[in-house]
Amino acid sequence: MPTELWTLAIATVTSVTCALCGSLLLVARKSMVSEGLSHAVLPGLVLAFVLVRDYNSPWLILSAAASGMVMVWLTQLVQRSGLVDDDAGLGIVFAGMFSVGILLVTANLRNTHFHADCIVDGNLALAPLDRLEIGGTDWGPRSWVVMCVMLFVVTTFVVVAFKELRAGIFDPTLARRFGLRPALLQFVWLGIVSTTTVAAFNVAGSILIVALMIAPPAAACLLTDRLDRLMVVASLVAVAGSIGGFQVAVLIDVSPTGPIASFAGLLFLLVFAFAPRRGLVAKWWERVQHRAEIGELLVLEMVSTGGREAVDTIVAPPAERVRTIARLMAGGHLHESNGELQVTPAGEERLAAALR
Amino acid sequence: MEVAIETRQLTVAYGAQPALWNVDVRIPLLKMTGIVGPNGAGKSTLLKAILGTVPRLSGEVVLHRDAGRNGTAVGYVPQRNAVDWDFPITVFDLVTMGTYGRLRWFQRPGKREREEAREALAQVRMEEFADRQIGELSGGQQQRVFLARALVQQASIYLMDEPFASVDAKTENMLIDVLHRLRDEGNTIVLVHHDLTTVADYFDHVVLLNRKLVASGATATTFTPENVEHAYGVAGQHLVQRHP
Repeated sequence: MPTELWTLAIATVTSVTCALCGSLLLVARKSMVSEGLSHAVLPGLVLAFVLVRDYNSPWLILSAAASGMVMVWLTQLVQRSGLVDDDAGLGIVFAGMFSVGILLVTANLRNTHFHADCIVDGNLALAPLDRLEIGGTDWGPRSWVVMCVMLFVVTTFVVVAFKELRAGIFDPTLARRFGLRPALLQFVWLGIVSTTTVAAFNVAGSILIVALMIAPPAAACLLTDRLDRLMVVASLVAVAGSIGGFQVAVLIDVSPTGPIASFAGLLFLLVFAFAPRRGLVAKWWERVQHRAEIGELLVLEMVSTGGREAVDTIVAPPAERVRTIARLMAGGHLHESNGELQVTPAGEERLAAALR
Repeated sequence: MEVAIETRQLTVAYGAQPALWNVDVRIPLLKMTGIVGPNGAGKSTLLKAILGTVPRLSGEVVLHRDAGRNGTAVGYVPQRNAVDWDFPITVFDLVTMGTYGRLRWFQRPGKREREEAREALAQVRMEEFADRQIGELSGGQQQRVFLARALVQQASIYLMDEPFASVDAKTENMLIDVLHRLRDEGNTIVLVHHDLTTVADYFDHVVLLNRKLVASGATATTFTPENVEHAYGVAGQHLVQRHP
């Protein structure tokens, strides 16, 4: 398979995995935790590297994931103190941990893989070149294998524990009474999200991870109102974002990381504008229709109680009043005889029905 | 009198603010009990203490032996502001959640559970809203849906926190009918209630609370102007008999 296709495959698997994790964060109202995790895993990553001096050691993933969980725990401690807002607590902790990570990098690892560009952008373009070989067999690019494993873990977890996850996030009190251990479950799924963040870190970097975890679920949220469908739709948006972003990257010949993040954001904006029922356009159209409907009812009311003069008391531009009357006459709710407006029986019926 | 819920020396505080102070109360089995008192009297806190969701500073809560052992025996309807109404879940899925206590870990609700959820929705006359997202409902409809969840749970003790707040009179009557029927079928109902004018009609038993227990007993003998005055600190006659 050509290198570009591998890049696309890695990007797609990564974004779907991130979208699934992000969906849980979104419905638990913890979206910003992804931002925190993507930064807070750094000190764990660097510390493990300083100790083992091997980029490919699984200790790096474990230590970094643990570092993410430390952030979650510290954040809860700060939040529980009640001295700062919840968001601020998260911000303090992850920024602090990230700066420790940067400090470790600049002090110890000046001329290595760990430099600012890699941390922010990841290394998607080069990811296909780092192959995983076990016992002489080439299993494909390392990131591909790692992300496929993560996708499998996340999907299995979400499918198997769907009932427990949904109950635990939506109504922890009930879940606790039913013995569904919501606190333990949250610890497990945040652990999985943390591990995903680490695994994706090499591919996506800290910024793209956040984009991938937030944009597709946020778009999906506007398109459906069931958690299971939300996850499926978020995954589809993630796939579309990867393919679209990748095409753009090829077209303008740049590293695909930025375009994929931008494309995910663009998809969100499109959904935000055009989603049926909840999009901006749908909301605007709904308002227009409601205004027309209530205007028509009010004209009927005024005509039936005070004739044409009473219509002039309606607070609306004259042109709009004229249009409303025209619509009502065309619809058979008003008719004109001897220059006087009259409400037809159909119009009376409509007015009565609206106030029933 | 058989006791469904008993608290002994129950104390709960928020910071230095006592919410419930050394409360000994016995809530009778198979009756409809109203918890009444002024704002800040600890009514909701008493429900939370029974559910075990607030830390106790002293004392204990004892449930009836049939209810004490399993987690599904107590059904509760959460206060409206404790629910994330934007959560992507439909009315039907929310009601089905009531069956989760009977299912094993990782077991999905099956045909029987879905059937039960449908029946419970019919009982509160919400069948036609089954596919709505919960945020699209009115206040009264939301109360009915959560009540349906407690029904599906096959609870024997129902706890509700001001179910009639911002609910229209028609819905209030409907809910009261459902609750009275539940009581007559052998369940215990406990409501936090704040409309004093309906207390005498709705409840068999009244708990008057103002952080400390003011009075507890059968409505006829306990819900007296003297006790109400004691709990509210204003002329009780006026509050109780506004609409005779």
